[in-house]
Amino acid sequence: MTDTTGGQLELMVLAAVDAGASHGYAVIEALRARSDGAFDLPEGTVYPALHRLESKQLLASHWADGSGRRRRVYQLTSSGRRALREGRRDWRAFARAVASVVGSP
Amino acid sequence: MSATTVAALLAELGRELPPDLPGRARILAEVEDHLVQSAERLIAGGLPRAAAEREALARFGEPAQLAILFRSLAQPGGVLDLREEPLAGWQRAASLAAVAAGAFAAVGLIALAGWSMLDPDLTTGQVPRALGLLAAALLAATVSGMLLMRRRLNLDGRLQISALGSLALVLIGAASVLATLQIGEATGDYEWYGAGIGLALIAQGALAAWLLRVRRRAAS
Repeated sequence: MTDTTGGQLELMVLAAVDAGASHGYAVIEALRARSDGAFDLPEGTVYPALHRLESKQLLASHWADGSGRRRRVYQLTSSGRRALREGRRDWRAFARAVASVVGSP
Repeated sequence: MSATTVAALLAELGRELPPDLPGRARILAEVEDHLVQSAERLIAGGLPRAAAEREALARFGEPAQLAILFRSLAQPGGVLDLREEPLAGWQRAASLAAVAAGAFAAVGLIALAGWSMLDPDLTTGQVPRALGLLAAALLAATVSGMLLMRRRLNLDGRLQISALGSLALVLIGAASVLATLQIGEATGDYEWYGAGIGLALIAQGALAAWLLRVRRRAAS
């Protein structure tokens, strides 16, 4: 399962959860939809990322019973919200720096 | 893609994940939910069930590769540690209450050492003494287990050892209550302070056992 996100999978997962994707399937759908299919990852990839973020206490999760199915539901912790803010800021700085070096065609 | 059904993929993933991997049952449950939901969406989009399952499996990826990722997270130095799920605020408050009750009981027991259940003049204290000795053995087993196996224990092992400690607290509390009653019966002087401490210990042990159950359910 190759990471085609340039090492930004965790940041994108945080952003997807922040945008309302509360479980693994919804997160992978959000990544696919918001990237216009550019990040069409093997769907299983999202679970190690979710668990890693939870172990860092950036996400919290619990089992929820809904529509007749037990589902693991994720939400951002306060540390996760802070990490997302910092990640967005760092990403914008990085993207600006790369753009200024690479330039337009 | 080797697996051709959801059940086959789950079985393959189950074989690939070590039995003692933290959060193993949770991983399998999440993957099953994901595949079922994915297949249902495809069926709703017009695919026959068999084709929908195959497509869901293809989109999901190879279970062996997923297992490698989970194993690497759980290795020493990896970041996956589902054994330490953060407690909710009210659970933290309950934990603090348990610690406070323990401190109260410990101070009280030290103060009462002079007339405790180990008093050699007391002839009617066999039951409290037996409970106290059993509790001491359980506490010794708890501490020994935690010291000797702290690097190797998975969640279940740690919870089982902690459960021994909780049981020891309940037994010490029961011994204290019984000692109070028996000493009172023998001397006509009931020291209800000792019974209060015993009840606090019983409450603390029960609370600890309940918190362990909550934590185990959250991590399973």
